[in-house]
Amino acid sequence: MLEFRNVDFSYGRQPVLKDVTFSVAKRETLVILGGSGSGKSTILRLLLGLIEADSGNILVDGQDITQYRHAEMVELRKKMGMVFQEGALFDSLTVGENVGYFLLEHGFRGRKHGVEVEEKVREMLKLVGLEHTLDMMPDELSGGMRRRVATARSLIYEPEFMLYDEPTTGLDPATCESLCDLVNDVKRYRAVSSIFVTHNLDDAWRVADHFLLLRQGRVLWSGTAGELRERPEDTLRRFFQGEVLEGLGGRQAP
Amino acid sequence: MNGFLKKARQVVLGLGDFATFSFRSTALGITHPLRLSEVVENAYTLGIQSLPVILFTGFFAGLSNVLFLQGELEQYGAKITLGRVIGVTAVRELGPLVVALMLTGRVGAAIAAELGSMKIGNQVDAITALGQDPERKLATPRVWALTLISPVLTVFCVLANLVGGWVVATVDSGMYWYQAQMALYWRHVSSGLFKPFVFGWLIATVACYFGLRTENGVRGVGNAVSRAVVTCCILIFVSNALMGLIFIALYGL
Ligand SMILES: Nc1ncnc2c1ncn2[C@@H]1O[C@H](COP(=O)(O)OP(=O)(O)OP(=O)(O)O)[C@@H](O)[C@H]1O
Ligand SMILES: [Mg+2]
Repeated sequence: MLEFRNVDFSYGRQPVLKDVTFSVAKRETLVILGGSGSGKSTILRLLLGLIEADSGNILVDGQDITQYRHAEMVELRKKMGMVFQEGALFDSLTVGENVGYFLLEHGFRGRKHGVEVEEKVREMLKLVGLEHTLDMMPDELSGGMRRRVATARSLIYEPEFMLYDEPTTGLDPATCESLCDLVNDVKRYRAVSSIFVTHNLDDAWRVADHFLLLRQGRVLWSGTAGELRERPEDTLRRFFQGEVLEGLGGRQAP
Repeated sequence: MNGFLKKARQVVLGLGDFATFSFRSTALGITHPLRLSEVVENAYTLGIQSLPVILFTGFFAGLSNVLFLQGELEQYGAKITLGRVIGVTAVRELGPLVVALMLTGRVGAAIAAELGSMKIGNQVDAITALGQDPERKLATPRVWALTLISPVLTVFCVLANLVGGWVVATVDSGMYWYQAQMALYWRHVSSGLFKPFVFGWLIATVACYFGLRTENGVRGVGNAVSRAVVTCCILIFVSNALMGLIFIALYGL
C-alpha cells in the first residue's frame, strides 16, 4: 500500500507539488497522467526518498516514511523497484552486470554465486525479450531497449512496489504491449503495487486500475479506470490540451 | 554589496559542505570496508595508467631546471653541487607538484566528468534506489586509491626529474648521482612522500565532490570539470606552501 496525504513539495521557491493525495493498494496499478513538468517524476522521487516533502505524509504499508531515518530508508528502497525515465543504466557495466547489479552488490558476489546470478540475469532478460544483449554495453542499446533492461534490473530482486517512469516511451507498439503485459503479470503474480507514469493513453488503459490526472503539481482528478471510462470519450484529450474540465465529477480537486 | 555578501555566504556554505563530504567519503572506507579489488582497479586506471605522462613531463621538468641552475651555480663556483640541488628540488617540490598537476588534469577532470554525467543521467539516483550509498560506491574507492597511489607515482617522477637533469648536466656523471643521493635525507624524503598523500586525497575528494554535485544537464558537467580543476590547482599550491612551512618548522631549513 502506497499513500500520499496532502503532500507539498517545492524546488527552492518554485512549488512543484501542491496538496497531492492518492493511494495505491496491493495488486493495483496507479497510472499518473500529466503534461511535461507537472510533477510526475517528482512523486516517484519522493517515494524513494531521493528528495523530501515540505509537508504532508507519505505512507508505505501504513508507515510514515517522511519520519524515517537514513538506515530505515535504505532498507525500504530494497523493497522498491524504480525504472527511471531514461533507464539510468550504469554505462560502465555490461547489460548483464546491470541486471545482476542488486544481487552482486548485496551479497551474491564471488564464484560461489556466479552461476546462480547468471541464470537469474538470463531469466530476467528473457522476460523483457532481450536475452541476446547480455554482453553488450548500454550505449549499444536503443532508448527503448535501455528502459526494458532497467525494468529487468528492478524486477530481479522481486520488489513489493514498482515505480515506472515512462517505461514505454520510444517503444514500438508490439514491445509496448508486451511490456504492459509484463507489468500486469508482475502485479498479479507477485502482489505488487505499481505506479506507472506515461504519456501513452493506450498503455495507460492497458495497465491502469486507478488514474491520477496531474496538472501543474495539483491533482485534477483521481478515480478508478471504470469511473474514467464513463466520462465523455474526449476527457483525456481535453485534459492534455490543458482545458478546464468542468463538471468532471469523481474526486476532482477544487 | 548585497551580492558580495551572498557570494561570500555561498562560498562558506560550500566549504562546509565540501569538508563534510570529503571526510565522510574517506571515513566510509573504514566503516564500510573497501574490497581490495575496488582499490586496486581504481589505483590502476587512475594511477598506474597516468605513469607515462608523469614520466614524460617529469623528465622535461628536471631537464629545464638543470639548464638554468647549472649556470647559476657555476657563477658561485658551486657547480659541483648540481646533483644535490636538483635532487632536493625534485624530492621536495618538483616531483610532488608535477604528479599533482598531471593527476589533476588527467584524473581529476575525468572523475568530475564521469560522476557528473552519471549524476545528470540519474545513475547516481539509481545507485541510491538500489539500496546503496553513492558516496561509498563512487567516491570512497577513488579517494583511497588516488591517495595511496600518488606517493608511488611521485617516486617515479623524482627519478624522471633526475634523469632529465642528468641528460643536460655538464658535470661528471658519477659526481651528479653521488650528489643526488645526498638529497635522501629524512627531512627531504619525509616531506616529499607526505605531500603526495595530501595532494592525491585533495584531487580525488574535490573531483568527486564537484562531479556528484553536478546540476543543469550537459553544461553542468563542463562546469563541474572546470571548477574541479581550478579548485584542485588552488588547493595544491596553497597546501604545498603550508606543508612547506610545517616541514621547515619541524626539521629546520
Ligand atoms: N533538480 C531540479 N531543480 C529544480 N527544479 C526541478 C528539478 N527537477 C525538476 N524540477 C521542476 O519540477 C517540475 C516537475 O518536474 P518533474 O520532473 O516531476 O516533471 P514530469 O511531470 O516528470 O515531467 P516529464 O513528463 O517531462 O518527465 C518541473 O517544473 C521542473 O522544472
Ligand atoms: Mg518525468
